[in-house]
Amino acid sequence: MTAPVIPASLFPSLDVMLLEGAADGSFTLLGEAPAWVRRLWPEAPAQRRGLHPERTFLFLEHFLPLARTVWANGQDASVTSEMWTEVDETGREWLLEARALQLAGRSLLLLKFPTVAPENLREVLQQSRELNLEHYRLRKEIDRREVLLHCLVHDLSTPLASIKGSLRLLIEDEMVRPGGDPLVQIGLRQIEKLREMVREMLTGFTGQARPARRLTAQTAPDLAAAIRELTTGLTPTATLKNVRFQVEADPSEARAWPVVGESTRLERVLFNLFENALRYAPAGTDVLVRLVDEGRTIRLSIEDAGEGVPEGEVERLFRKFAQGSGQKGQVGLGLYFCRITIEGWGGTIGYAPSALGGACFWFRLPKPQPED
Amino acid sequence: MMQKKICMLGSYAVGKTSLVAQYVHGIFSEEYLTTIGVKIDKKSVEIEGERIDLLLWDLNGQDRFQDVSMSYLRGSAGYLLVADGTRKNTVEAALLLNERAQEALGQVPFLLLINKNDLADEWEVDHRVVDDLRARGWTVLITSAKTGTRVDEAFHTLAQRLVTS
Repeated sequence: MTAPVIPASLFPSLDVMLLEGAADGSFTLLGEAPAWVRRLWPEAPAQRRGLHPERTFLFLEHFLPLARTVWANGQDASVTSEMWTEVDETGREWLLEARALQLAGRSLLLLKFPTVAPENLREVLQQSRELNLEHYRLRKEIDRREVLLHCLVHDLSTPLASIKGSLRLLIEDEMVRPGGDPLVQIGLRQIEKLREMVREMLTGFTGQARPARRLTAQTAPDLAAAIRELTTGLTPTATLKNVRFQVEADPSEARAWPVVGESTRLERVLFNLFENALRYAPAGTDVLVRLVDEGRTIRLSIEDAGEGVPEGEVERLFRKFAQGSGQKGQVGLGLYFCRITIEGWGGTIGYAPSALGGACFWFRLPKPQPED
Repeated sequence: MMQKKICMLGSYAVGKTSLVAQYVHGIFSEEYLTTIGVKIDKKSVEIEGERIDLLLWDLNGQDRFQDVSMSYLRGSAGYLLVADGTRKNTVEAALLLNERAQEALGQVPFLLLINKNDLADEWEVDHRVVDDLRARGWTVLITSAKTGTRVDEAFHTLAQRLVTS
């Protein structure tokens, strides 16, 4: 019984280019070439012998040494390359992969489309990354607007309080001309209306910072886990600076540290505080992170051995919307963002000089209430 | 002619493909098209009187959906780490990739490019981070694939180091 003859058109119909390696390092085209070869390597179908695919597909310079070990080593052995992209003269991109196999003593090289449909792969990756970028951009924009809004509302409330106080003094000190008192009372009532509007805006703002749903120990963000992830992410920078994070938890056994809050914002708060400590910690020192369970609340402190905050600046640290000259982005908003977020969750935040000689930033957040 | 392989490493959407397109073809596209696997471009340059073919391996960006295969780095004479100045977490990612690249290649020349300098209003990377890295001997260039700012300089600087190293 004779073996069936495989038609020369089989491989091109599968979009596979089949090449056989020769001892001198060149290749011979077996069968017919698929259509895509005419777009990317038009000389090959005519030349057929003495081909050097690595000169056209530069990626193969990287793959062929590996392929040759397979051809030299084993019967029926094979290896598949990573994917790579070629661009034809029209600018169209073609995603390819190579497979080297040793079959019946012949060294074969298959050039083909990847097993995973490239269009699907690209679409999934493209969409996920575009969504990630959009999410990042929106998050940044929302943060910026929230901080600006909060600053604006604060800026409005201060002069209103001052005007109200002045009008009251006018009345109390009987400095209003006879008959003028009703006009001052109108002014006071209008100011009170404005102050009520400001209060409503502030309530709305802090309401946004509050977790949307009731948190339990299972659904609340885990402060210890967030710290672990952050310190891992900052390890390269810390290593470059020769600074080490030391995390102390009391009690020290591994456990969850759930707090009231929302995980993304909590991560931003932690990032601001940790990055700050890392920035000012001198080389060769530790940044000490301490978690203390206080019963109904958890207290986190971050201490560094830098120069600390000058006494005259401590009071303004969390209050003012300050941006240093020549600095870009959100520099100066970090601690302000930390304060309004932590306070929005019913917590407190503060600063104290550290026993290490530098700064100690701390915050305290309530633990989630037990489930009913 | 001497050939030198250079790999582009960095998170997704930091502008690796755009930097190569600007350097090799002098073009820039606003459209973001994610790279799958690797795309290789070639550019001939003259360094100190000698012509060199730079093989630019534009690797797929790294994120939680797609890792960077360090096998692509094999035979690389140097690499460019790329971060996006409007996303500060991409600098951290570049530092992590640098550790992996050094494990794979040992000490070979590299530069850090903080790209998208044209988006100054959205800039996030603190200049002190850049100062720290420079103080440790890193060459950090603030580039823009869109305007071409310091793009030629980045590739040329690395090529020079490849020749002299």
